[in-house]
Amino acid sequence: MLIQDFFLTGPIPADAIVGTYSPSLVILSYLIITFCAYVSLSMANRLRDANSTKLNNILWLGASFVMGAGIWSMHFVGMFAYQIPISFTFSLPWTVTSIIVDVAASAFGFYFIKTKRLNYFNIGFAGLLGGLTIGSMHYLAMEAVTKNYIIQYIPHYVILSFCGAILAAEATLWAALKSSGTPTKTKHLFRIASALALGLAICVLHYTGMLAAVLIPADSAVTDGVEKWAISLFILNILVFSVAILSIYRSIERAYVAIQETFQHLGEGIFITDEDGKIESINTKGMKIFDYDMAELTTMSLTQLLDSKSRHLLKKAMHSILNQEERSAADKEPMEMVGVCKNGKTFPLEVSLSFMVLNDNIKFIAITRNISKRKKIEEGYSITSAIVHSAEDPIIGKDLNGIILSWNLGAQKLYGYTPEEAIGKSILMVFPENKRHEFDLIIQKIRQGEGFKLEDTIRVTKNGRIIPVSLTVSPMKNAQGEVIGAASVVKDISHQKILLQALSKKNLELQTANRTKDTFLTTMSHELRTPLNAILGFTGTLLMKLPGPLNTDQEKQLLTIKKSAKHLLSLISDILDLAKIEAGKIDINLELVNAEEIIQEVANTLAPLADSKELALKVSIPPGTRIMLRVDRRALTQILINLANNAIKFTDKGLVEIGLETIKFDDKEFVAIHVVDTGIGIKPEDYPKVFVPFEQIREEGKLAKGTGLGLHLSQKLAALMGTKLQFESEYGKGSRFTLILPVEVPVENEERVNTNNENTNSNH
Amino acid sequence: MKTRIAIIEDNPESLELMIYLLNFFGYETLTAMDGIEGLSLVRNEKPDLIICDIQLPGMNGIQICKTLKSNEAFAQIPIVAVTADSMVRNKERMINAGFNGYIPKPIDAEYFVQEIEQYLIKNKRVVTDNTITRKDVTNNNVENTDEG
Repeated sequence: MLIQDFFLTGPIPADAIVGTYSPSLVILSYLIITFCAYVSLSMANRLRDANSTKLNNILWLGASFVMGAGIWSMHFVGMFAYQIPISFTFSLPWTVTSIIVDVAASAFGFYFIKTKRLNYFNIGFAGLLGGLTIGSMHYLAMEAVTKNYIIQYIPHYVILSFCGAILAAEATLWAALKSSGTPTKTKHLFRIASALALGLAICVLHYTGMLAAVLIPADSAVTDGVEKWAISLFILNILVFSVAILSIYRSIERAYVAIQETFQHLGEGIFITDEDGKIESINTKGMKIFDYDMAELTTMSLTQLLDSKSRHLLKKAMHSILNQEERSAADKEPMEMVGVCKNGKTFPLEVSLSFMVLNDNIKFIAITRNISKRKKIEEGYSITSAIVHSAEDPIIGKDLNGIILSWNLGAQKLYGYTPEEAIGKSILMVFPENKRHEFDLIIQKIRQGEGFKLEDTIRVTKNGRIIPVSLTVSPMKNAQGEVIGAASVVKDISHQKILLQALSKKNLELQTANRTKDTFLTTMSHELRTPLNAILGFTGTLLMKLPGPLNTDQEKQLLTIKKSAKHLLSLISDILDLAKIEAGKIDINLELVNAEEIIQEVANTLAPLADSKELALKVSIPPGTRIMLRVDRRALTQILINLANNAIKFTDKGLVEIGLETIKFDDKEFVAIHVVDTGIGIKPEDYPKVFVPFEQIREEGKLAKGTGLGLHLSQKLAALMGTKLQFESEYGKGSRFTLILPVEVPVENEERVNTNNENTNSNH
Repeated sequence: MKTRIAIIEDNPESLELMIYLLNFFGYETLTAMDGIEGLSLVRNEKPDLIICDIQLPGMNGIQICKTLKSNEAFAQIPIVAVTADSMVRNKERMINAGFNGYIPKPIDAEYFVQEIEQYLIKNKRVVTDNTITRKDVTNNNVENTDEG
């Protein structure tokens, strides 16, 4: 066809056929193209992220066919809508050619999306070419109309129609690109909108093209073309086929979405790369791990996300897969690597590398995991294990059969076995024959999840030495809380044992010494008194003049012997008492004692002595009181005798008084027992010596009046009862010794009531 | 017949002193210097009173006293402990063993015989009382005196 035949160069001829359009068919044509565009777009926008080549090809062919056939169908429906007075048919070769060109043009456009070579230039170029092709198709299809007339085209309308075609093609590609990815509601709506727009654009192309056409009746008449009904049937088939493709596509998409979702939401970062490690797809987690976005990552190589050492490791692993060395072992052990984030930060990364074969191309699948947390825990474990290993105390791990799992330095030191010798052996090797039963006991406890302690047992070392040890065994549990073994901490108690033995020996010695002391005191007491018995006894018989009369000197000297022997006797008594106190041999028996009774008793005992010095011995007790004390009767009596004895000894004129009074202090009742004399008194400078043994106050030239132990002994006895002797004295005027004791209140009250009653009775 | 007093005492000087005093006041003394000898002396001689030391070779005073008091034939004989042992605990042991009296050493020559006589008199009085009640023939009295 020549250009001048194609374009109408002159004005529109008068006999040009003017047609009208059937509105319903025009609408139908629009609906068809819109529907086809929608189906095609739905498939085309999957092209971009489909990873399987097979699926990709199916999608591509499907999308191209639906789009191509849709445009073609629209064209013919548009032709049917054009009503002209002449009937016409379609020539078969042109019809077939036009549909092939249409499909090819679509395939060409979508190919760019499929190959993912996406940039503005490519898209623009593809759109331009696709548009031109589709536009050309329109005019080819016009040729299919059997030539009962000549068609010539108005040039500016033709240009306009081509513009529409290019616009439609660009829009299609752009829409396919933009609505790609996981379908969401917005994307879906966008897709529908795109389809509507696209349909419109193609309609514009067609009807503009139709406007451009000027039909001029011709002489020749060809009637043997394809009839309208055949074309209509074909169009119907195309539509049915499109519906079928759509539904197949839908189910594929659902499955694909499920896989995609899983892929996106996996806990691990998944990278799919080509043979060279160039990243082809990544899931969300993968982006998160390295802090890059999708666009950045798809231009990168996986090795760029690793440090140099890991990079080398990964390349080696890829290389061995490529060389078919390890293809069979698809589940290779995960490798520990160091990942590098976008900001340059490094972190421990675990990479499992596997592969798949797509159309004889190897794709690597790298499953990555940030293991910082795990590393930290592992580090903690390794620190713990280092501590355990270097601990001085032996720490041994064993399983439930007693097989040694760990053996630290302490264990090696104690038992002599090295870890190499011990691990894997039974712990029974350190149990002496007679302690094997402990093993069953320990394991039984451990199985129940309980710890076990053995304070004192023995174990045997490598060279057969028996060592005393204490053990603490605790159950070891796995992450699920099941008992998997036992950890025992062993302590060598040899040292303690030796100490303990030494201690108990010392204790025994002390006990013996104490017993010896006890026996010694008793024996001393006995042995010292026995000769005094004869001395005092025979002095007595002589003084009684039983053997015969005595002269004055003899009598005087015998009296001196008697006096000295008596002094010696009191010295012996006091020293022995003191020794008994020091040795803790005095038993203090606290009992309820009537204070008045004791005082009276002491007064009675000492009355003869006072009488002999013509001293008044007075007992002073407030009337109507009966005071009960919780004291040791013997100790209190001895204290009072010592005090009264001293008072009489050091008083030549006046009186000695033994008495008591009650004192209230802090709501508690106390009794103060006093012994007062009008004797020589104590010089202030002698106060500190009062209770010191053998520091008795001597008057110059006079013989000592006591043993010098009485007050010392009394103070000790008072202390044994939890109290203290106190004194006041004025030299030359006399002294006052006081002993304060707590009163047993309840008893005293009761007694008081009774006493009062008695008093009342006696008054009557 | 003189009242006979047995003295069991291992210290010769103490023994000599007591013999001298008792003889002087007209008592007959029988002596033994260890526990076993003392026990056979009492068995053979059945004295009116026994003076017994506590620390003795062979058998101690406590054992002697317990043996005699558990034997009806000798239970009535008063036993007085004369000892240099001053321990309080031992005093209790003596009373528990059945001693009728206790005189600590060194003894007071002036009062010793007097004290010993107390136990003799007590014993005699009991005997006298018994004779009286036997004459009066009242069972109650007999029981009472037995208890006393």
